[in-house]
Amino acid sequence: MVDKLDVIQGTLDLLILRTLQWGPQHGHGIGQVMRARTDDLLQVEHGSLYPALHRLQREGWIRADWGVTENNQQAKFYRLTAAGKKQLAIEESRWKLFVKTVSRLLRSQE
Amino acid sequence: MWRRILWWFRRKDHEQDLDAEIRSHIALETGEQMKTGVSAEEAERAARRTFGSFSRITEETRDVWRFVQFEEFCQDCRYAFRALLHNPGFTAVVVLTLTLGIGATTAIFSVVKAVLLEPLPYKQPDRIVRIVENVPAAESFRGIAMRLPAMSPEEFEWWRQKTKTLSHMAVTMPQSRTLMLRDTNVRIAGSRVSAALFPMYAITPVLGRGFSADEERSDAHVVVLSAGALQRYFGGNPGIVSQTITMDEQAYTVIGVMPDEFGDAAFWTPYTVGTTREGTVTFVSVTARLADGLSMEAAAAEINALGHQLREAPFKPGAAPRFELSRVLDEIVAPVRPALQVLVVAVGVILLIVCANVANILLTHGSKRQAEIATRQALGARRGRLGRQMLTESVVLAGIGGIGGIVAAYGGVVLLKMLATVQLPAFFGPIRPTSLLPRVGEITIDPVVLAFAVVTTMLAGVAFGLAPALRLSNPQEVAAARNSGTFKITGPTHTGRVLAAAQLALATPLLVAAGLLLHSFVKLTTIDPGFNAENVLYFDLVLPEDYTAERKLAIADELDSRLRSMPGVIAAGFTDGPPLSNRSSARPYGGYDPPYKEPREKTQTQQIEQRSVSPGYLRALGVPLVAGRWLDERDRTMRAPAILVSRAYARYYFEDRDPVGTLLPTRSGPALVAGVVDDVRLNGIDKDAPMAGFVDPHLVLEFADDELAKRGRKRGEGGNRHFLTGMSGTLGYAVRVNGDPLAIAAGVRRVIREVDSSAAADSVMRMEDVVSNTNAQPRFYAVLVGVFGAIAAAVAGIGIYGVLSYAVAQRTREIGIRVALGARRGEVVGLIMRQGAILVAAGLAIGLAGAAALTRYVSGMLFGITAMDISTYIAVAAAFALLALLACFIPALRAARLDPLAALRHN
Repeated sequence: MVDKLDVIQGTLDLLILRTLQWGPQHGHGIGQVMRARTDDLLQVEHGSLYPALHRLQREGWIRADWGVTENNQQAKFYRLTAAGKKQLAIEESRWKLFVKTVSRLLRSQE
Repeated sequence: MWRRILWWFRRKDHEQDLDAEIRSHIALETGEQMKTGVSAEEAERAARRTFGSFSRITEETRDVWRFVQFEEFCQDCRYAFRALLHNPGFTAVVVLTLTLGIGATTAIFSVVKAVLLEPLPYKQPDRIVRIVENVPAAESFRGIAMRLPAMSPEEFEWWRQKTKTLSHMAVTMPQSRTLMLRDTNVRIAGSRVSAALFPMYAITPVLGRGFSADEERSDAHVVVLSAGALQRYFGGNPGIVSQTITMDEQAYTVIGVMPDEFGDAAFWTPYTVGTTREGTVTFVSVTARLADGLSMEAAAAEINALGHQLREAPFKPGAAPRFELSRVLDEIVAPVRPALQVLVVAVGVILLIVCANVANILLTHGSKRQAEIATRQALGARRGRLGRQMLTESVVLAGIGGIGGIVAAYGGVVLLKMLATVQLPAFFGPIRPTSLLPRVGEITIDPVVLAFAVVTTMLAGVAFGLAPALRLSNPQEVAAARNSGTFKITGPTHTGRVLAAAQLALATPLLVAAGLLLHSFVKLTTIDPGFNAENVLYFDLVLPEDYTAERKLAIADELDSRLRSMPGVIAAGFTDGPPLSNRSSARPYGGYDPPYKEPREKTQTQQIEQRSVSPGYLRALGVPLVAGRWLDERDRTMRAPAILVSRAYARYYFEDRDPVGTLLPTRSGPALVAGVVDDVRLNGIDKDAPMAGFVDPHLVLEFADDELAKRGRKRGEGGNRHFLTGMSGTLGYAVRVNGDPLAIAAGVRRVIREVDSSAAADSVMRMEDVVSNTNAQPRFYAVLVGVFGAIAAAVAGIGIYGVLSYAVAQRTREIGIRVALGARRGEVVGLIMRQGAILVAAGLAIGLAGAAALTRYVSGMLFGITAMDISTYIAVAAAFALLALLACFIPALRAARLDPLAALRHN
């Protein structure tokens, strides 16, 4: 039985960048996508996305514009910038390295 | 970084933007939720729930793009101000406490900085030294071993030629002169100095030059003025150099002007060996500068070797040096260093008490704020954030207290300077109006002192704010508070109580010392000096030193009669030794040989004080006549000169006989006792009235001439120039008037000038001020220690109050239950008072024991009481206990007035 997982500190940025790779999305949508793709296993408090979004924006990795959703509601849409794409690549490889290292460690102790 | 600044400037837009964004999120999520078929309200509630803490997320998001610390600080400050304004009583108590603590600390620091820390305002002051001789008892003129920091003029010449380790040597001799201006004469204080003095201190003249070596002769008649004197007497005229001014009827050419930093002399003239009086043993004060590149030790070794050569004493290696060098800087501050160190410790203790106290008050106050803190935490405030807020409040409090403290320090410095600066006529002390503290003019609140105050304030704010900040922001305690209603803190109450008792214990010795000094001072001021100083004008008549005795007397008599004819004047007269002046007069008219006593008992003769007084002097002073009559002018021509004796004299020599009319055999023939006057404290307010005789100066002069004639010597040309005015060249006058004596001061100056154009009045002041200023030293200590004692007592009282208020706040519910169960008000008051009384008793007991051990350090400053004076101890203990119990009574009363229903509902 697997409990719902908290987002590991620091991986939220990676997840957001990764989500935005498929195109511009608003904060609510990002949360939805993340939950849907992990079969609701990953629990993200909706609100906690916003500090992260603004931080990424401050770093210049994403950009934000107001737009309209398919339901004709006002929402702020985030999209990846060129710098954000580079950053995503860096974070992805760093994550893979991290996972590989941890798995190796766990295997060796079996 | 750049982007961040831009963001910061557009923060209002972002704020609105974020709001809109969150609203849109909630809207979207509500839409999602509604798909599951719930109502719109239900959906929105769910949306908000999943979103998390609204304010925390806004806060955190804002943190991303702002100068967080700074903004939060501003916000905390604003909040702190609002909170403080909301509790004016609490704020006032804390601010007042801090004002006292920081004010006292800052004022004392400004003194310490000016006196001990600041270098003297000239080049390398630590290289200015003085030669000190350790004279063994066998060679000392007093018969005891002594440290002699002076030398004879001849020795000065010798040293100057021999030494190679001292680059400059200079004599400084204080002198007073009468500066004769167009319409008035003024006495100014200055120095005779060697030409080397100015180069030694490397002081550059503001105008002109210093002295040259060939001006060190008595006929040079050149003078250097201080900038202050130039401003005061010559309107700052820059053309003064090479003009002449008149001092003591002689013309002097001004050759230069020195800056004011250079001591307090108004003028300088060259020192020459010939300017010291003949026939007097004179020592001159010599300062010197170490030659460049030489160490103090090397110079001291040379000086000691040379000194042995000078004394023709064998130099024993390893023996204690006969000659030493001492730093002038050390000499200036050495006498006050211990007293200042005591004051520093005292204010340090006060500041600690203050901090401990304010921490206690903040805790007390904080216990009332649990609801607010719990709410803030529930809204998502993190612990660090809460703690920072609390700390900011402390710092804001400290800041207000610090501003108050700086204002208080300004007042304190003014008071200190006023107390330390004492004007007294030359008869009563050194030549110039003097100060109880060295370098008192340099004491100011300058940027360094201000910086000190600011740093002290900040440290204090953090010190007393830290404990409450940590405690009140602790989540566990907040949680506990949510449940129980108050902060349940067991340890700190104990600490608080110990602290409060410790404050009492610390304050008590200070208060006892203050009590002793005040008691002693009151004793001094309530002593009857034997005369009535009210409505009496005091002044010194200063006559040129080369006037003959006859001329001096003629001028004095003329002035005497002119004064008596002035409107409003009741009586006037002069003397060679005013009362309280500690001027033991070894006048030649004497050797009373009173009858009725065995020779063995006549050794008392040695202790008879003899003063020359004009016929009106004692009357002007208001000395009561006990028997017989006053002296008058006719007595001068009588065969047996008339004298007055004091009551103590009459009692000792005549016992129950009537002395009036008795002829006393004296060395110069019989003298008639014309009257008996009441005892006067001639030698100082703290010394018993001596047996005394008062004689007309004319008779004293006659006697001196007779003595010369008997020895077959002729009177010198012009007579005895030392007569009457002695070394200081002054005569003390007393004028009794109707009303304020200072009202006739200007008239007196005019009359003096009319009587003799070279005469001047000095120290024109109320006799009452003269009397009170002779107590300046005890007054200084009594007021200073008194103020500190009062501060410590007040703060300790607030401490007790704070601890008990805290206890009452904690026990609100318990008290409510007690009252509900039928406890009477008196019982509730008793409950709290008992708690307070234990603290007070413990603190006082320890404090009194400490006082008994420590007050011996002030025993040297006490008059008429001992350091263990039991009445002072009892009075101080009683007063302090009363104050402390009063501080306990207020919270006790508050507890008693608690409405039991409100108290029970308190949670």
